[in-house]
Amino acid sequence: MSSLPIQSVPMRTRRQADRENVSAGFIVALAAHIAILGGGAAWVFWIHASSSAWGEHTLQSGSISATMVPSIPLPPKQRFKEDSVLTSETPSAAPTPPKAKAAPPPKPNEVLIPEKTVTKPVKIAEKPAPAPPKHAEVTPPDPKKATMGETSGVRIPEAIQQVKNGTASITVDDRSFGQRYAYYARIVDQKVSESWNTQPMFPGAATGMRSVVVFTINADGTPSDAHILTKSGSAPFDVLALRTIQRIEGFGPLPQSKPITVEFALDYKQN
Amino acid sequence: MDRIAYTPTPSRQLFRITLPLFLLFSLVPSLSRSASAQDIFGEANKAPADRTRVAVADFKPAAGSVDALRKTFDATLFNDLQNAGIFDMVSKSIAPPVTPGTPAEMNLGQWSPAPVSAAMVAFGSLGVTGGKLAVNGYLDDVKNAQFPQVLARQYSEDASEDSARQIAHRFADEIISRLGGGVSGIAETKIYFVHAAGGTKEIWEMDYDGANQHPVTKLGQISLSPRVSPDNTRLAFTSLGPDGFRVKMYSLLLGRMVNFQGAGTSSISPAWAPNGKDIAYSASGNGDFDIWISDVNGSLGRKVTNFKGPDMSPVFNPRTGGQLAWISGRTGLPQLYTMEADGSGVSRLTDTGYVSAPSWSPNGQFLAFGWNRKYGPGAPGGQDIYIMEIASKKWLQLTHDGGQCDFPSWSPDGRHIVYANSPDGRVEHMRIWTMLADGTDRRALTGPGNDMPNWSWK
Repeated sequence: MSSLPIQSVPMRTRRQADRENVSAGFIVALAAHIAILGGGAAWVFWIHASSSAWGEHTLQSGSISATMVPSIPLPPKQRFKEDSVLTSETPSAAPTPPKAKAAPPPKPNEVLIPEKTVTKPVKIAEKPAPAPPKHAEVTPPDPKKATMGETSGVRIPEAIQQVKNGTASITVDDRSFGQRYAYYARIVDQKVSESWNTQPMFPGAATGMRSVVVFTINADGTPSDAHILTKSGSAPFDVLALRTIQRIEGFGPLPQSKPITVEFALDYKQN
Repeated sequence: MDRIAYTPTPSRQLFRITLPLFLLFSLVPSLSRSASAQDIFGEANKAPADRTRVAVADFKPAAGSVDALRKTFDATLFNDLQNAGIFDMVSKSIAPPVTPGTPAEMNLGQWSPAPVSAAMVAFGSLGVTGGKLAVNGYLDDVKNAQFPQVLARQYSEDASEDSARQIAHRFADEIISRLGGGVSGIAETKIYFVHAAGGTKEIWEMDYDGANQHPVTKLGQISLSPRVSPDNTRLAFTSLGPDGFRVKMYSLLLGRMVNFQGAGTSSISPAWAPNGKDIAYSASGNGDFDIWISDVNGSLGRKVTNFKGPDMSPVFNPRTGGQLAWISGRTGLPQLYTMEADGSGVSRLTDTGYVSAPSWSPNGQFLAFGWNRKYGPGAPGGQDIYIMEIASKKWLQLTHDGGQCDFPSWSPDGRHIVYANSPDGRVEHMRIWTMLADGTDRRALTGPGNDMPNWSWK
């Protein structure tokens, strides 16, 4: 433009004027389009932000937490022996042993400095030897322990299981039943242990607490008449022991028609 | 499951020490008594609170035995016991290579030592006489040398592949019922599902293990959400016909459609009450779906929800029949609710996400449902199967990272859940899967194009 003569500047052709008009109109139209689109987007955004249709804005009262369901009616998983892979049909995946990492070779220009190892003599405090008692101690008789000649009956547990909350042992009064239908005693044992496993323990539970529950298994396999035979000394623990039996719906029909009485000792062991 | 878990803990060592003491303090009246008690001690001490270890011997071919039938029987029996989820099965590869046909031929000494270490062994014989398949099945307690027999059963059916499988199912159910604490097995149960092909969706039926898949309805329409009646005689489902979505009824005894007149102009998602006399479903006259309960013909209907927002997918508490769980969108996204069957006592169980398709566990303790916990544009996570203990509202996620999972349905023993899964979220890739109720042992039952499974009541 600067190289043009001054006279030629105002001399605009009609074509140039038209072009300027067109470009001005185009800019106005473009601005109008942007305004409409932007307005639409803003309106959608405003509608989306202000609507409560997503349910996310509702009051979060009674919020639930991601905790595990305490009991699913399935027996515990078979533990997998890593030294006998073939014994189980569905063994858990054995963890792959980590690869031994080789130490990087020393660089040729490095000189290894041997590490100093200082061994200090370990001091051991002398233990004072307990003085022997002057008089022989008298141990009080254990009320739970039967002594020779005073026992009313003998009960040997049919089975004892180590469960998460301690041990559980079963005694069936009818001796012939235990021999004839040992498998049923094991089912009772397993069911009670599963139920005991899933009982939530209260904070004051102490290792060594033991309740003995007595109940009757009817011919259809339902437990009834559960009561505490030997109290543990802790009322909540006794209630838990009782509920362990009461939670069980049934053990399956008895192989005989006569109901059996079962005594179950439930111990608590802190893990 | 980890390796550390199997190392002897101090408590177990203590237990080993205390055991002899315990025996010492008990006075032993007879030697035989003490011996048998000690046997059981040893066993219980070794395998604490474990699953019963069961071995299955191949059945002995009796007169006129057909190899194909015997193989089907053996495989089905083993799979049924394996699928039960309560046994530790002895792998056939390490079982003794013997086929005892009768209790007299059974040598328990072969089954008790390691690595077999079976607690129970199932065995028997199978033969074909006069066109009938005759099966003698026994179950022996390996630990009880004096009185080993637990179960003895005889079966006779027409000789066919299908009846061999049915007999195996029945014998497996007997064993599961006997050893599983009285809870019947599921080997004889059926699963109803939606099969999509050629632009239509029909209701199909299969055995619990995915075998024997065959169509039930042939309507040439879009049929959805099958629900079988508690006595296995009727099938209620939703069908999209010329008059829109309607609940339809199919008689499995008659093999044809029977009348069901639902309320409103459209009705969906039927559910049977455990008494087999009531049906809950979702119906609408003006576009707002509500839960209705009517009898099996669709008459005597009554509305039990009355709230703005859709209410659908009802399910009865199968234990009592007195409660309903359902999905309601009254606060926005669909959430899970429970109420009494008369509409009172409404309680909300979930408070976030998108919930669908509840199924109530047979013992009434749990609800299984599909749940997208973080629902919305750009939200992480997907639709998975969850179970919730109703009393405590505690929940547990059963499926993880497997794509879209929906439509869970409990098995009648409460130990299994069947559900539909699509790895990429596309409907045509939906397959039916089964798993244990703790989310383990997942396996597919069908190929793609199958959806909305419903497990029969027995």
